[in-house]
Amino acid sequence: MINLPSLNNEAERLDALHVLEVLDTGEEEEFDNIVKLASIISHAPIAALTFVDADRIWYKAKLGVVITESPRNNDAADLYPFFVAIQIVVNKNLVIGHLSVAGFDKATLTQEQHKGLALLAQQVVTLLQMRMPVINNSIKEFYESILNNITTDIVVFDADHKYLFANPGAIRNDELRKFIIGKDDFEYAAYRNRDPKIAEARRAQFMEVKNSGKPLGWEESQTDPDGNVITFLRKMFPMHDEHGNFIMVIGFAIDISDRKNLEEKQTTIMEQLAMQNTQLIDFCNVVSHNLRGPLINMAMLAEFIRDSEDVEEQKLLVTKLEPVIESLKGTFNELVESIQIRQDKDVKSDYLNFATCLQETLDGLVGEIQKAEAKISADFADAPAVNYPHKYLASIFYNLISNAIRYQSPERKLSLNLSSKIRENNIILTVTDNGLGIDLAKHKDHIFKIGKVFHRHPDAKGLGLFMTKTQVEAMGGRIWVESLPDEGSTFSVEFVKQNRIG
Amino acid sequence: MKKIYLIDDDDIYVFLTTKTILRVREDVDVEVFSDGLQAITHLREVQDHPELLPDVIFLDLNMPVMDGWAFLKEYQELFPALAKKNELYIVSSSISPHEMERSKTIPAVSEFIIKPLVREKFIEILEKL
Repeated sequence: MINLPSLNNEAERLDALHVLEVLDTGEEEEFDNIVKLASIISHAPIAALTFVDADRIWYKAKLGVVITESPRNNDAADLYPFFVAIQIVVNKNLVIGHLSVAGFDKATLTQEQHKGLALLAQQVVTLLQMRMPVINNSIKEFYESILNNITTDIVVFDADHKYLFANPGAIRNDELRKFIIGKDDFEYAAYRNRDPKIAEARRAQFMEVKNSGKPLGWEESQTDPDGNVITFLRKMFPMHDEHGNFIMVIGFAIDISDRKNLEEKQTTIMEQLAMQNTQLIDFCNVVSHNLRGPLINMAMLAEFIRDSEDVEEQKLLVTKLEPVIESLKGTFNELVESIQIRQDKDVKSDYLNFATCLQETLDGLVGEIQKAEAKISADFADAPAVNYPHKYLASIFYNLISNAIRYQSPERKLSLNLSSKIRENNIILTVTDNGLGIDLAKHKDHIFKIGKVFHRHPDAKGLGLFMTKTQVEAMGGRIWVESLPDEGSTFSVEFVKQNRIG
Repeated sequence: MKKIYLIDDDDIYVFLTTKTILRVREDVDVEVFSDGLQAITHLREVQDHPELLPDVIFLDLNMPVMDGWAFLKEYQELFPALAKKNELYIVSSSISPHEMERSKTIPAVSEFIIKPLVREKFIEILEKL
């Protein structure tokens, strides 16, 4: 209602005004009453509460006039014979508007009337401050800078799960951050062309917090555009007013990827330790059974030979010594080899053709294969080659094939099928036989352990599969078996990181 | 005539132990089973015939098909039904404290003997009968 072309601190003054968020709001009884009181005190027919925006004067409350805004360079003061304007001042010296009275007859106000108007102007400031607790710019800045710079992502929802606030940690893009205020996750997902699944999950979490009145926390992983997995710890807290009514939810998320990675590393180390411990127990078993057993036999045999006075009996006992020594030698060599495999971390890999390597193994086992009348077929079309140490692949073929020959069913001729398949970056080699099979329900935990055999068979030693497993695992892969007693077994070997093979 | 069951897959060990036993006592009958399954199957067959049941069982632990522990599990269940009671000794080349501790939790096991089963120990066991 008043022309104020040159108010002090124009920029600061406008900031202070805008913070109050009073411009362009609707009529409010409190302000209307102040204007009525101003009119009554000053006996003036016209009164108004106006705020001075950058390029206009905006009327919050008025009496006796109908306009809602006017340009800043209007000449209202000259229009009325009687005109008095009291400044609305915030932050000590920032003028944001006026409480003014006007009339068509010339008049002057008494000191008491002036005082009354000044008190009303102060009342306006008090009312504005009550509406907006953060009037002090420095306090607002203080909180804003915390919320905007904190690495945590923070959002606030109203009781209907619409966004009241999102900090840059939550939504980095300024436009999107402004867009989301007053909207929900479904609108956001639609706007950004995203799967509404996350919005549905968020809504369910929000409803749980709203209904239970209790905070909710969960961990959530997602993959960033660079392919890194990021894990967040998310929490939602319900907020209630002094009457216990649910008013809003504060949500925040912290990036705990570093902690997660560390946990995963620890788990890996624990697994390795557990594996090494199992291997140690295995070695203890080997020492007990495969080394100590034959040694005891040798000692007993020596004692019997010494005590025997019958030359024929001595001869018989000596012949019994030979297989014991052989078995001891075999176990010992296998043990030495398995320790070498574990220590040889830099074993050299070559580009190996499955078919060629298989043929080498078959040539070495030609006698056994002929004797068994085994039918062997192979299909390596899907993955014809592998990058692997030649010695290990030869050992895998040798152990799996000789194993199949050894444990063939007496009721049918051995049929053996080998194939290779690509699984993502890995290659899986499978060897399927129609032999005796293994009762996995009983032997699942022992199958690849050293010194374990599952058949009443003269050749059963139980070291071959242990050696194969040691080699496969030394190369980062796995070996496993599926089997049904008296139907056959399928052994599978995984060769990892084979993506560079053409 | 005492009857002894020897459950062990090591042919040479069985040969030598049988020899040791027969040197100590001639009135002993040794029956050999090369794994737990053979032994438990036989025990079930003769459970009602005291004259066929053993006085002593010597049980190895590390065997194919059914090892000593699996045998013990089934033996515990069968034991009350046996027409004649007997003593059971584990005779193993194992020096694992874990296995010795484990054997103590099984009431059917009288003692854990580390191989070899020497003459003196065998005499001691037979004297207890």
